[in-house]
Amino acid sequence: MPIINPVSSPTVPPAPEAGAMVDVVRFERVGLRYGRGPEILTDVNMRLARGSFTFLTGSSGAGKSTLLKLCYLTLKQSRGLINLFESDISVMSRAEQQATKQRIGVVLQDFRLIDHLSVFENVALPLRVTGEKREAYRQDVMELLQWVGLGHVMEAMPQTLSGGEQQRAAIARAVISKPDLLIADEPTGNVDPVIGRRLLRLFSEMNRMGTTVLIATHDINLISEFSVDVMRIENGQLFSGLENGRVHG
Amino acid sequence: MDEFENTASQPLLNTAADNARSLIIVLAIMSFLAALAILLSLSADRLGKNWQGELQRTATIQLLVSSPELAEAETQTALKSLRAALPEADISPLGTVKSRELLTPWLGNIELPEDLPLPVLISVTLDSGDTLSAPRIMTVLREEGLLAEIDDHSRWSDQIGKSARGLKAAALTILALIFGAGIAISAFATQAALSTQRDVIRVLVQVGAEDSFIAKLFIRQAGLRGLKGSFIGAVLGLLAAVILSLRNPKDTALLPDLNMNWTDSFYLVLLIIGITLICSAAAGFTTYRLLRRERRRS
Repeated sequence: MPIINPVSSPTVPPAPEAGAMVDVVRFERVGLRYGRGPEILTDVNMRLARGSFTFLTGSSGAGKSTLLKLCYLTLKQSRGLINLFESDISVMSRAEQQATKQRIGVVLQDFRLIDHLSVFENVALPLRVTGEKREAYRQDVMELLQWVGLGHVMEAMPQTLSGGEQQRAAIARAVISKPDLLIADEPTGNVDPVIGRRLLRLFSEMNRMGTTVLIATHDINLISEFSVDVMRIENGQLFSGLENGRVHG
Repeated sequence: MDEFENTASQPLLNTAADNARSLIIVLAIMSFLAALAILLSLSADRLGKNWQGELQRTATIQLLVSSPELAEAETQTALKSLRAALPEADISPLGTVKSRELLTPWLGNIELPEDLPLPVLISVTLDSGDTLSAPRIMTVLREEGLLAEIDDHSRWSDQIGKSARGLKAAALTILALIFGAGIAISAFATQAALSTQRDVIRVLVQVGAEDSFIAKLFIRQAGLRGLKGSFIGAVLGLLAAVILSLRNPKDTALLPDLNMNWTDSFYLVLLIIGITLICSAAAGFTTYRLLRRERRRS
């Protein structure tokens, strides 16, 4: 039965403004269908409190990526209410939507790096679209690239990187603007376990600094290593916790 | 870290993705034709005004003498009264030889009889800036009891004026067509660019770029291509016009004499600015329209 997901677990550090239970994401009876087809998501209720760290799991094709797309405003729900940062997205203007997107960092399965831009330029993109000067962000981008182990390929083109390096570049791009909400779709899918854990430590670090993190993954082992909230999606419906109950929800 | 010396941002749009060179060549050809149209129109206008000015300052008076015996006396009277009335003007009788020459186009090079009665013709040319008044001349002659007809060349002057206006209208029509084609080409090129750069736009939208940010990229790109194309075309047009103006008029008698003036290049600067602006505007409008349409679809 679909449930309202509990907010952050005790193991996750509290949000910067302790006590203020602000929802970064709130779904109420959200449904999604394409055209006149059947509903892909049905009556989804979800709350992500500020500073929470949540894994979203489910089998392939269950609707994980679709749910994430609703969160990062690439899809619009067919019904129900979606609030992002306490604002109803259905009444947001185009400018407000784009401003909201600037507060969300997204890591996608297919990386979506721009081929004709160097790794540095790809990572700096979110800062560039907000009009920041290159001199202002240059150092930050270089430091982040060093941190994710891409310091030696800053000027390289994405197509010359390995899958794992591309993944790290995409993650660096998602976190460079210090987003309030970080959404990642299978972020460790193309990297070895060591790099995977390192990336998750980066997410965890960001979460400690107040970023709300939502990660979709089917890697149960990875989830088991973190004591955080888990949501499961099955046949377009959202449930709390893993099916076998190994991780609390 | 300090090894990273690249301080200039790379262009967000992939310049190699679409065929920019072809677009610049098309814009250059259009600008070349537009530049020629402008220069020819300006030249024709100047030429027309010069001719009209010259015609308006000259007139030919035909004295209707009462009898051949009195022709000389009446001619002298007419010359005296005209010179008194128009002291600044150059007034002189055409003479028998000149009068006979005027008949050649009509009668051919035949030997004319000596006693052929020829009209008494008087040529009047005013200083530049003055305009001839045919009624005034007629009044002066009438006061002396002389009958005359005056040809102030207004028929030719009007026709030259009409031709000049026609040329100007044709040039403006050509310019309007070229500007219209420029808008269409730029809109089409932007549409193609938006299609080939779909992935880039998708990422830009994802990281929060507003429509205005994306539109500016295409506006700048189209403007730059418009500037390059129109500059090349205008320079080539100017060169072609200069070469045409240096030719010997006798070699190409059917073509109007190109009367180039360096101030004409000001209009070519306007042409470059105009084409750059319409390319940018068309690209901006197309980008906004397609982004809106894309959003409605998703």
